[in-house]
Amino acid sequence: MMKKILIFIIVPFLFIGCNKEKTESLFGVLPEERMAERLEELQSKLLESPSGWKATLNTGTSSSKGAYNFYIDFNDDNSCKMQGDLSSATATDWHNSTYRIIWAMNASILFDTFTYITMLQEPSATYGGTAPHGYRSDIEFEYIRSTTDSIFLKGKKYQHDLVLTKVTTNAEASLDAGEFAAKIQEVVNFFAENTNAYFETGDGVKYAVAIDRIAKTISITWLDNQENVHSRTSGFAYSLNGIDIFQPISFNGTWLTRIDFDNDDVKMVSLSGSYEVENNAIPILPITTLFAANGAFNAIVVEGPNLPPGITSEFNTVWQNNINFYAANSATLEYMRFSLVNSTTARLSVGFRTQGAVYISQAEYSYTYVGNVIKLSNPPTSTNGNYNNGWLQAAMKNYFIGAEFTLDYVVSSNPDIVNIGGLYRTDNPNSFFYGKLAKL
Amino acid sequence: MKIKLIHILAIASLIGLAACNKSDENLDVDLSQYNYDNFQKTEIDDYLYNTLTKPYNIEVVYRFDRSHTDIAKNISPPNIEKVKPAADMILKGFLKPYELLGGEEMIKTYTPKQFVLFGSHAYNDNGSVTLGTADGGRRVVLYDVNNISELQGNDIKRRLRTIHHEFTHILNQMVAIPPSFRTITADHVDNWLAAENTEAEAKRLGFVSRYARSNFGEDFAEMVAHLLIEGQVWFDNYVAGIEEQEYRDRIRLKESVVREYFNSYFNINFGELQAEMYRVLTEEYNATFPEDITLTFGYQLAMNRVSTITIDPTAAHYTTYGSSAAFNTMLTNYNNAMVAAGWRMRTMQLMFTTTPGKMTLRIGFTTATTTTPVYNGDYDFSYTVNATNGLITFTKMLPEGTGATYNNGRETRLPPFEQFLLPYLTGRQFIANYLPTGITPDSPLYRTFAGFRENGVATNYFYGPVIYR
Repeated sequence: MMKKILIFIIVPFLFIGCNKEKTESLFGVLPEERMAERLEELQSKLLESPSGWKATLNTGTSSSKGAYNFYIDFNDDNSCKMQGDLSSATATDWHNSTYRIIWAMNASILFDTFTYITMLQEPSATYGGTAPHGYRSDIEFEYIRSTTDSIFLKGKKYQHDLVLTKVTTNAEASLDAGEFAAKIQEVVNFFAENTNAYFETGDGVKYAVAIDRIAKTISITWLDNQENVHSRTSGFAYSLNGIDIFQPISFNGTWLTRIDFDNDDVKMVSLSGSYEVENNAIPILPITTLFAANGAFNAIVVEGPNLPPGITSEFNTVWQNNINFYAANSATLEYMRFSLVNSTTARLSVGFRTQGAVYISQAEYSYTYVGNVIKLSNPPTSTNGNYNNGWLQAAMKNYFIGAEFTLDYVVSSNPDIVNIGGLYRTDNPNSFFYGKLAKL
Repeated sequence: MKIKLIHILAIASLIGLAACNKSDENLDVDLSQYNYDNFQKTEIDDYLYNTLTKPYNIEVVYRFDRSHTDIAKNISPPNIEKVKPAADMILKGFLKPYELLGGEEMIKTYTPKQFVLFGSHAYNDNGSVTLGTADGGRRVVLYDVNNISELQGNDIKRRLRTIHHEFTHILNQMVAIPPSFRTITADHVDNWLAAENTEAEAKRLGFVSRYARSNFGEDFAEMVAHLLIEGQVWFDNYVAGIEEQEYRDRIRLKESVVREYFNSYFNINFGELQAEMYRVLTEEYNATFPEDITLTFGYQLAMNRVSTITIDPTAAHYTTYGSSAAFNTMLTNYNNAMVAAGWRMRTMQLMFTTTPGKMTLRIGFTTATTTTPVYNGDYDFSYTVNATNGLITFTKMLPEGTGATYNNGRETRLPPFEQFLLPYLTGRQFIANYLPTGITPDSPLYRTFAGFRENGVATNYFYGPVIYR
């Protein structure tokens, strides 16, 4: 009897104990093993490419801050060297810094000492960003996935993709030889010399190509057979080949991905082929096709007290006199905008700041727009208080009242200054008001 | 049998437990497999280990780790090349001076145990930037390391001031700020960044900086940091520039509490610590320090330490060191007018009275034809002098004093005094200074002559031997 009792007592204990042994890993291996595996995966992937990687990164909350390319070569001692397309210096000299792979919710790479990519992340305006957020970029990236020739990472804070693609073995030698900076210069020179660059795909349409080096954007503009204007814009970054279009441009059923520059041979590359980029004698799109009250642009604007540099016009004196006049009266010019408000009304609007507030001097005119000639009414159809009480100099007022202008593009001696439109006085072609073409 | 039963139960339980042990296998985390944040050491890591970690038990974190700062802000890591200059600055400008004066044990005990370096500033919502922070007496975070340069002495001063400021807080956590310091002033403000708390207002109230007005703890730390880094001369100049005696007394009292605090509780001669900081900053970093304005003539005048300046136009020093043609012309015209009235001027003396702000101009004169006896004619002036830059203006005091000398003055002042001397003295702003410029600071005669130069007109001045009170 006693023995039976004992057995009844002991046996359930054994079962209870052994039952627990059934704890199983849902994912096969232990969590720390999986973490280690993923960390190892990222680390070994980074070291996989003998000549390193080309890393492409977008910045800003929109594409307004442009895209950037970095050539990075990782070493297994947590050091790396980098070149970037931020400036001629960063595209010439390797910068040595450190990185580390850490686990922070996911395998992550940290560029943990200062290097070129940090210039986008650091908060000041020193490298072209806007304090206190810089370019709104990251130095901590989460590992998403990889393919044979690419690693996909995502910025921890701003969630921008950082895509690493393997570079060829001779790319490193090219970078050593300063060819990255040379290629950037080649691109700049090409667009400076070929102000009306375009390519054709065989459909009889000329596709205009233009880059804005400051905003780091590229735009493709064309007129279709019905004379409608089309425009596509994306960020771009410089590469050893020329230009990478950051977000490929969707275009006639294919995608434009980059422009390859090989001395005089410049090719727009799409997923389905490539097209020679050439220069047209005159602008592909006459300004009159773009500039209208309901057009792609309807305004010529100058933001701030400085006219776009590198342009000589007799208007510069009128402008400077007005700036000096403001200075003498403790005011600064905020902007000057000439716009076609609708099919009959044109508007001149000058914003100036004094005593901490912005005031506007404004006049409206009725206008005629025939061919490329715009004629403004005399007198203006309406003016406001700040226009009438002396806050705009008479010379500036008279420049527009009853004036007849020829509308045309303006070319600056500075290749970085693009997309400038001008109102040339028909009675004096050396005198023209000019500014950035804009849509207000 | 009962005992047997218990034994069996015990064995059974053990078996059960052993079985349970096994079941936890998949739940244990083996941290040796999970070293989530390690990196290969480099040259700079060895340097930091040997200079700061091993001797002082200080960790220097320079590789980016967001958790060491405000995660909401964009703050960049330092350039690896700037780590060594930053570490050297901590060593030379902070640890070593304290080690020298306070002893090894003192600095090793109290130093913050972690220094975190960031390359950029930390921007604040109000547009200002943070240079450094300290937490719990253990960690000091230094920003803007990417702009550090050993050649920029004054920039190094700014950085070291942050470190010394934070270290003072740590010392205050070990030995509380004496109650006597708390009661010196009640002019603290809730928001030190408020527009009305200007630099000038903080100074007027006897605070060493705007930030010092936050509370007495910050006041104390700012006092220490400024006394050590900006130096005693700077501090004396600063105090000299405080207008009201009441507030000058207060800041001096604060200074004495600071000295006493270091002396009593840490056995540190604060003056020697200041001297050591001065040595490091000038020798290692080529920093510059201001000149002592308390030694300037303007300051001496403002402090009412000057008794007389005498001008005797025949004296030899005007031949040796020169004199101002503009002044001489005026004086000659005056004397000619005196001679026409039957008198002759012999000397002119500015007597700064014991009453602050009052000067009596005494003209020594004789008859036009004799050399004795000499009579004195007096005229009273009031004056205001700026202790910092020596700017001084004279104003005629009326009514005139009474007595023989004032009567003499009345006799002669019409018309020569009112026509020449009075407009000369009251019609312009002067700068009080040691003159002539021919007597340089290395001359034994330096500061034995002084005078006044018209503000902005280098050629119009007068001077004479000075007697101090």
